[in-house]
Amino acid sequence: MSTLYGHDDLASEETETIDSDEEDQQRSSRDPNKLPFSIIWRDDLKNDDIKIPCSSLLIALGATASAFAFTHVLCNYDLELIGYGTDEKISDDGSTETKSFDQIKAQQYSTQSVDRIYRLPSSSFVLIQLNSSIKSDRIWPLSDQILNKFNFSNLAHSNPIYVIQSRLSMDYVTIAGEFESKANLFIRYIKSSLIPIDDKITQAIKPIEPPNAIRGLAAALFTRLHQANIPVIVLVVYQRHSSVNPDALKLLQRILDRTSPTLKQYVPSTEKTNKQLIRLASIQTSNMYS
Amino acid sequence: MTGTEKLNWSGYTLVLPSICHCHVGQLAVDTLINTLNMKSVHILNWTCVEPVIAYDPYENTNRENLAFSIEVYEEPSLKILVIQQRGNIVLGKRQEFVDELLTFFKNEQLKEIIVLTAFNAVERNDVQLTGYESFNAVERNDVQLTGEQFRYLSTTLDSNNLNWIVLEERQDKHHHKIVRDRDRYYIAGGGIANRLFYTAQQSQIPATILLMFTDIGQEVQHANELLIRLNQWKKWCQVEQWQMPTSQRAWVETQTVPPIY
Repeated sequence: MSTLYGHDDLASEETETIDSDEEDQQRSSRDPNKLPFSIIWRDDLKNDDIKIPCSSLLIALGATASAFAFTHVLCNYDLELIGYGTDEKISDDGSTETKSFDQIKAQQYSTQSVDRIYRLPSSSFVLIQLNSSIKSDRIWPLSDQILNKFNFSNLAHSNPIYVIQSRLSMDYVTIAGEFESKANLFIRYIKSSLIPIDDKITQAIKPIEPPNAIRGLAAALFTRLHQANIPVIVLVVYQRHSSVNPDALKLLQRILDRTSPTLKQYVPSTEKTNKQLIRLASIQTSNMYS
Repeated sequence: MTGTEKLNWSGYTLVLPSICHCHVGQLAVDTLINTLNMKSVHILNWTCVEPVIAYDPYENTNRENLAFSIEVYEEPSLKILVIQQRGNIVLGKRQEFVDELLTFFKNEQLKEIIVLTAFNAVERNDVQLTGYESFNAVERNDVQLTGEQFRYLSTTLDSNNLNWIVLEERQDKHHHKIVRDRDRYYIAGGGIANRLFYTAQQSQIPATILLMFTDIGQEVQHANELLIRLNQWKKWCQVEQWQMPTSQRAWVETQTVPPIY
């Protein structure tokens, strides 16, 4: 039927169904060219029965934390790649090439976010770098997939797992209703109750104050570790902009140096200037088009 | 269910918020928990709820206490269970959430479910906007600004002695009532309240929805109103004033939703 504005069908006379199951399916529908985001383990570690020993774990989520991991850990140690995250689908005709682990590790100008798991062969130190945006329905499965792969029996209460990430300072709210001291850069923590109240972390920085909260993969990892009685601390760097900030990287290094005797050795301070840190960080987080 | 001690909640009343317009339900539940000084007894491991962690926002609690995405609080003397939900429902998993909730209800042999939610005031129809007393006054140009803004839906409650108004049934554009059961009611911005009510009805589970027509700026006032109505019905306690957690003062002062919701 034609209307004044062109040919079209009249809207159905039936009343629209609201909150339908079809609507729910549409909301959860996935790109048919992608798989659910998950971790691919190295071939010798793929078996579900294999648990990787871990006595120190640093998890870096997002661009700033990922950049910190690169500039302060990966640049100073030769870590082996033991897993990476992807949602790439291998096409049936084999036109999508599967890269070897060595190829993935060597890739510096990646065209997608870096999502990698490293291990230092000489010790049980593990570094997890996750930079991709994860869909909400993958957060819990991904956190379970990661944590179920490791054996944390050698993890001491004095040596908790650290999860680091950054957020915008304008999102931080204080009870007085003012944004935190109008500061451009500050850091807060949330820790599991296994860690004593007089721990170094509580003396170095303030906790995340209610009504602020942590969401996403950091929250999922924390919840699972807390329920498994494994000590964990989440550090959140609040900064004015979402871009990688070398002052944030230096702040993270100072805090980890002061509060974690075990991680301290893996995150040495650097003499590099801010300019060099930015350049280094951009290598890690850039792609061909930025 | 995790935990070393099996808790007996048989016969308890379950109160929970629907994540709704202006977060009224969650604010009401936080105020309820804070006022009654309820304790967290269980974390629900439902993967259909997005993860959240924070420090406990309530008064008179250990500052080291953690708050999770969805957990259960208990008031044993009044036989009340409260679920506070801070994480959004994962996209596409609303029915899974409702099913989990009703399974929890049956497994714990609870007595009834009460959902606190809000209805986006912008979506009110004429009667909901102006109220029944003044509805006929429109013709006389004698219209009140707003009528009663509280409504309820229930599979069991007969509110004659409470003078409550039941939520009006939905009508199509020709002002005919909707025949399909699933779409009889419309709770704009009410989250899973409508779906939960329908599913509970089908499963013959006693369920009541309490809602306020709410707009931005009315969250705190309407959260309070919901609790007043709830207590008017249940007569749980003598409360002169419901105590909003201090941490939510930021809401009042900045007019922005606190990150914990």
